[in-house]
Amino acid sequence: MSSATGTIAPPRYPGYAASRRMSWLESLSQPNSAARNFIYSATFWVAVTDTIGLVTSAEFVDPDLFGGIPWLEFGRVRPMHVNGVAFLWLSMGYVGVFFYIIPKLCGRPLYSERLANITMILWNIWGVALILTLGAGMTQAREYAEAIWPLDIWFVILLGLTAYNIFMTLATRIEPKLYVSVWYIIGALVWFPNVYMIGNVIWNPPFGALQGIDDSVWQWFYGHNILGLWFTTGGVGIAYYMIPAITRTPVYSHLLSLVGFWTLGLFYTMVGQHHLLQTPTPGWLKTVATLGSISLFVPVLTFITNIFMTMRGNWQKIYESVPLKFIITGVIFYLITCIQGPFQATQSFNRLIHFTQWIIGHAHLALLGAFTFILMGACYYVIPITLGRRIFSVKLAEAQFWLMTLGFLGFFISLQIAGLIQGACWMTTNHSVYWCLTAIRPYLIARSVSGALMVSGGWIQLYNLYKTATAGEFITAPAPAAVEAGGL
Amino acid sequence: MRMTLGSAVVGAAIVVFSVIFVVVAMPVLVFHPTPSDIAEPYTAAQLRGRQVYEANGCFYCHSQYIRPQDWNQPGVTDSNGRVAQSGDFAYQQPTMLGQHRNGPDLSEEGGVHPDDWQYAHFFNPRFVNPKSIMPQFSFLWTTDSAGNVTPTQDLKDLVAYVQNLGGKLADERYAEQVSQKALFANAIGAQANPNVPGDVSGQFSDTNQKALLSVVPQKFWTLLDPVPPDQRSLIDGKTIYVTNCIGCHGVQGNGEGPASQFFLNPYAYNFTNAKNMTSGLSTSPGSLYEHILYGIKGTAMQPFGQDLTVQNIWDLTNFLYTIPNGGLTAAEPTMDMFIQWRPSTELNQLSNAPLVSPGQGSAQISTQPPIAYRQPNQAWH
Ligand code: HEM
Ligand code: HEM
Repeated sequence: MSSATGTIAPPRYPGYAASRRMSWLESLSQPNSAARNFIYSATFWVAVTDTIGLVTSAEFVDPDLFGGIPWLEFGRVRPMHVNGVAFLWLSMGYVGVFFYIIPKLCGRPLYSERLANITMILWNIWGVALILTLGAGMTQAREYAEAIWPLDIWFVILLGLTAYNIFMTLATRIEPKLYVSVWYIIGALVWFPNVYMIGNVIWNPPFGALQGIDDSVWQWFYGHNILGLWFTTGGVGIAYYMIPAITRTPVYSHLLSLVGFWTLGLFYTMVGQHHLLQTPTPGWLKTVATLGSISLFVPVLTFITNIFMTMRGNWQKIYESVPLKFIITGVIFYLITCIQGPFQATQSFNRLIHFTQWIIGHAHLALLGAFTFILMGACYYVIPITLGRRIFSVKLAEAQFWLMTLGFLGFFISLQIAGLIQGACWMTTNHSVYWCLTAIRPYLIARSVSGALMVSGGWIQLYNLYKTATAGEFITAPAPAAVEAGGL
Repeated sequence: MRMTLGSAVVGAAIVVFSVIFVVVAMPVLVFHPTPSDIAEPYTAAQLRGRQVYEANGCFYCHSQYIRPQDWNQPGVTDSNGRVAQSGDFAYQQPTMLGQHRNGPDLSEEGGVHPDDWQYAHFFNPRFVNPKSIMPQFSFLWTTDSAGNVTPTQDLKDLVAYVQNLGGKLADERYAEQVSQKALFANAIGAQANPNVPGDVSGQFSDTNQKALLSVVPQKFWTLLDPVPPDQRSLIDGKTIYVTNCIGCHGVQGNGEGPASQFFLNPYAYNFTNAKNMTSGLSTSPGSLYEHILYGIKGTAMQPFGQDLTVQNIWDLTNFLYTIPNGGLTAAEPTMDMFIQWRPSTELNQLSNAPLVSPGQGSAQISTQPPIAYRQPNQAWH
């Protein structure tokens, strides 16, 4: 089995960023500035939109908490939270990390640092517009596709600019070999804009929807594939870069990565219908979805095997490197997500847990447990290394890790229990939905409390990265290697 | 396999687009369900109301399709367990099937409740259902300087949309709500004292008592409570009252809960009238039981049969007879507060059915309550 890693050189000018004062405009064309700016923005958004998530969860516990304030009504804050974490935190963070990884693996700087920074600014304005329109009740009323038509177009342009920048970098690369992460990033950038346009029925401005039940089929093709073809593809690509880079170990198997990549594209695309297993939609679509969902074990297990085999002999490094700790935890949560997933996609189990809080637990296991953890690790890796500064406080980063991990476990476990109670209550007692709500109230309170721990984790990251950028200790040679190894 | 930029881009596109052809293009090419028996186009008001539903994200908590096992959702019993069909959604854009049930399914909600219930519920869902976690939509009202609230056009449209959920079946149910409401309005209207806000005296009028009786099967008219009104029964009954009924019937049981005061017409029933609770035409345990079990169409009284067990309802019924004697104000209702309801001569004449005495099958109409009622602590027979 051959191995394939990109060459990873230490930063060329440690401490260059602070070596002299720059004009603001000049700073926008500094190498890696876009990567950092994307990550700073994403970190800001995770703090804000997690807090919005906390508001959402509090409304389950006390529905009159913000009673009578239209823009804080549950049905309006919920999409703010979901779109915020999906398109502002995870997506901006991913793009930031891509902008760091791609030049590294191409052996040349990003095609246009300035264009990337412009994309970043436009993306943030888009984010503000998105949150404001959702708060005002302007929505297309389709989960994950709420953004109104002008914002849809704007978002496609943002993706287009990002893809253009990355593909131009790739086309003019110096390193001839394409490392695994690059395939995944290519995949994500080819797939996501298309999935977004199809799923949003972008050619139908007033509605952004089809008529009749086919609309649901399309919506959940989309709803699923932003998860499969963007968050998973991007997150796996990032993990494939970070883990070998931090442990300084080549990826275990090229073959496994290949199988994983192609089956991911093949099987993920099939499974949108597993969100609609009990709806009056065509049965053959459901069969395709269930078979595809079970087949997803192939890309998942190849990835997991590859990562764990790469980690052989390196496990002690998770004690030395906070980024690695985050990323490996994320990978483990990803494994759990994808063990849960195929079971959920079977008719028999779906009948029990569909419509319940179990699904919310699964959604957070995937996007929070798996990909937020991977991305947080990547943020803590990219920022110090590109600034040439040590992280401001490793203790705080550790604290963030434990707040996130314990908070998440509390959140996840209480929702899983709540989901099973709800499912059983509906199936076996025939009570109305209200009646069963009283049974899960304690778990919803536990969810809010543990959610609050995670929210504080987000704010800690914001503070820590801000302090790193302004007051982090400069790294002098030969320390960069240690930083690169994620030692902070 | 060596990956190049070209093979990665083209390969990725080929793999995904071939699957997209199957799972995205094929459905719209081959699957064109025709409108089902209940589907109908929306009116302009309903369509505007649908946009209010979208804007406020109602679909994040309410699904809009019934599965075969979903007997516990509103309207499903009325529609005899009708399961959603693909043609039901023919006129919807977007469809809002929904992925979560933090609240009940709404695909058969139209006509399950009358309009006044809907308005009270939107103002504050806890007015009509203390257990609900639905947000308030009080911002869909305007308040004038005197503190009177009036619904905005948005809200009226929203109610029009909600009352149409379930299409033609909803229209049928809604028509019944409207005609039943007219029945009660006539029955009470002339008697109510217009000078007293919230005057409920019309409820005790002969016409209204008979209107209430008319929705109860005759054999329940004089039925007595099979559960002895012992201490346990009364206390359980009170708990059930407090957790389910106060929004409309009020903490004093006089029908002046917040929902009633602001929205309901007719008012929620007043249980504080001792005379009425002793021998009212429509206040037999059997009638009360029936009203709690199935609700009263045309009024905001909703069915509780799904959530309360048979014993719960009988306990609740027992408790209601303590309200005129302070069952709600005292810390605990006691057995000496309990009023034994007896049919009046008029009701006996109205009722053809013989009084059913528990444990003995049918017997002659008797004005004496059965033994078990007088000595609640004794064994049942
Ligand atoms: C083997 C892989 C997976 C399978 C088979 C799977 C299966 C499922 C199924 C069947 C549901 C819908 C359950 C229902 O509503 O009845 C679901 C929901 C969900 N999954 Fe997965 N899942 C997998 C992995 C993932 C991953 C990797 C992510 C994130 C990137 C993810 C994110 C979500 C989210 C966010 C939802 C909730 C969607 C919503 O209702 O809004 N899943 N999954
Ligand atoms: C970065 C971290 C997070 C991510 C990626 C995330 C993602 C999501 C997603 C995808 C959904 C939609 C689930 C579905 O439709 O099935 C959701 C809903 C929700 N999230 Fe989060 N979330 C995060 C953090 C939080 C936190 C910290 C809290 C609470 C303190 C929270 C509370 C909620 C609540 C209450 C809902 C609505 C659940 C419902 O409708 O039943 N989330 N989140």
